[in-house]
Amino acid sequence: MLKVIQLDKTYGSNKHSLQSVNFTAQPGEVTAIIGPSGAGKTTILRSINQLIRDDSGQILLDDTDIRQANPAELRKIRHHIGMIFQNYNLISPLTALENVLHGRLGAKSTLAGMFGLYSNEEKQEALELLDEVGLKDYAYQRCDQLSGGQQQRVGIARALMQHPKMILCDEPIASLDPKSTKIVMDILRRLAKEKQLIIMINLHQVDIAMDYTDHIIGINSGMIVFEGATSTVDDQVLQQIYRQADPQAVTANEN
Amino acid sequence: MPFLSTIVASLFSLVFAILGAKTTTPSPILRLVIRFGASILRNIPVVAWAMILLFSFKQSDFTGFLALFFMTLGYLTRAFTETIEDLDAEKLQALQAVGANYFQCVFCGVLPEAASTLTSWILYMIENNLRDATLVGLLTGTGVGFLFDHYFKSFHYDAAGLIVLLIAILVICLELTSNQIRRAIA
Ligand SMILES: Nc1ncnc2c1ncn2[C@@H]1O[C@H](COP(=O)(O)OP(=O)(O)OP(=O)(O)O)[C@@H](O)[C@H]1O
Ligand SMILES: [Mg+2]
Repeated sequence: MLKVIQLDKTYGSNKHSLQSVNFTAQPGEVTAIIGPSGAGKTTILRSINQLIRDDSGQILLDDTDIRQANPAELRKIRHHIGMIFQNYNLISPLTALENVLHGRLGAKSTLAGMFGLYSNEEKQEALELLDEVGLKDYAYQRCDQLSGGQQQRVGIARALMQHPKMILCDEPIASLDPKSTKIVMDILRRLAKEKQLIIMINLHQVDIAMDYTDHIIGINSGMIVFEGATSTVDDQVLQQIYRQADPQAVTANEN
Repeated sequence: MPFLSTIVASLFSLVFAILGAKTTTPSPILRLVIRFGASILRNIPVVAWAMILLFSFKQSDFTGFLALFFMTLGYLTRAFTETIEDLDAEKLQALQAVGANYFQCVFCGVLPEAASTLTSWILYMIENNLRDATLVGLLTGTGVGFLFDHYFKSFHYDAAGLIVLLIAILVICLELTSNQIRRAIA
């Protein structure tokens, strides 16, 4: 279980980007974070694996506070947290297989990782994961020759290679067409159920969030304004989440 | 000589560039030192390098090697640094998020992403240095510059002219080949 307690984050000396954020996310469930642009969705997600150092609070993954980890411990913790991005962020000249194998880096010795010395079992597992996301025939293709939807599935396979407890997805479908969107969301939902993963997804598309997720966290101006089962979300709740406190701030964000 | 000094300088430049690029530097102070050092090396013309080094090493192949080496080092460190800084920082963060440490991020992320651009720079530098080697050779009395000097001073203008022509042809051939290589790896 992921439990975030009183998380605060301020960029520079500006306003609060996150204010006393509290929520929990359960294994086996897909949790969506929704909210207007600039609300703090990315900030929350990146705080969880400490790509962004937050200012204060607690982030408990199975009762271990990620914020208290030293660099070596953090590396171990990160090894079990997959991350998926809007821009896929694969190493483009490398093959799909090589990118999936990168999922093992957190568990390997420095040298073995640097020089890409993977065991046959690791390669076998990577191939199986590519098969699982429907990319068996693309294992030896350079990633920049794959379509967006295919690249995102390589990203998912890379995350699975980490034997994750949790996968964080920052707008994973924002650059995808409806067909690839469905494929990717179906995979994520299936993984949550089958492997009992905690899956957190930042989403802009409310309809997708309603269709594919179990739990919804609504955020506005750095504050949680709703948390509950997806079935309890109605128009009133959505209005509250997407309410514009300061119209000027919104236009500034969109430029 | 131009090949060797370019290759050796490339290796050093790569290390300096990784230590000095904003995205991969281990320390901002080191980054400043490297940028400053590279800027000095780069802004001394290769002819001046040859002159300076002549005082210490007299006329020898090594002087020519060093002159090209220093100039190339300054130039490539800057070019490599900018190449690395232009890489998408999010891709490297993605590796960090996997739990990769610094060296793994550099070897599994930075190097493969930058490889084709880095190779282009090295090829370009070899072309350039082949041309400059004539000049450096004239001053240091070595290599092809020495031959040119020899024929020129002994009034064998036909032979001297042939050398110039050969260098030009060599450089053009090299340029064509390196264009091919560049296209192949892009
Ligand atoms: N590196 C940064 N430096 C300063 N301010 C930042 C930085 N990153 C984000 N912010 C600010 O923090 C707030 C939250 O940003 P965040 O990126 O988390 O929003 P978001 O909900 O992900 O938005 P979007 O839907 O547009 O991706 C915004 O007001 C943004 O301007
Ligand atoms: Mg965002």
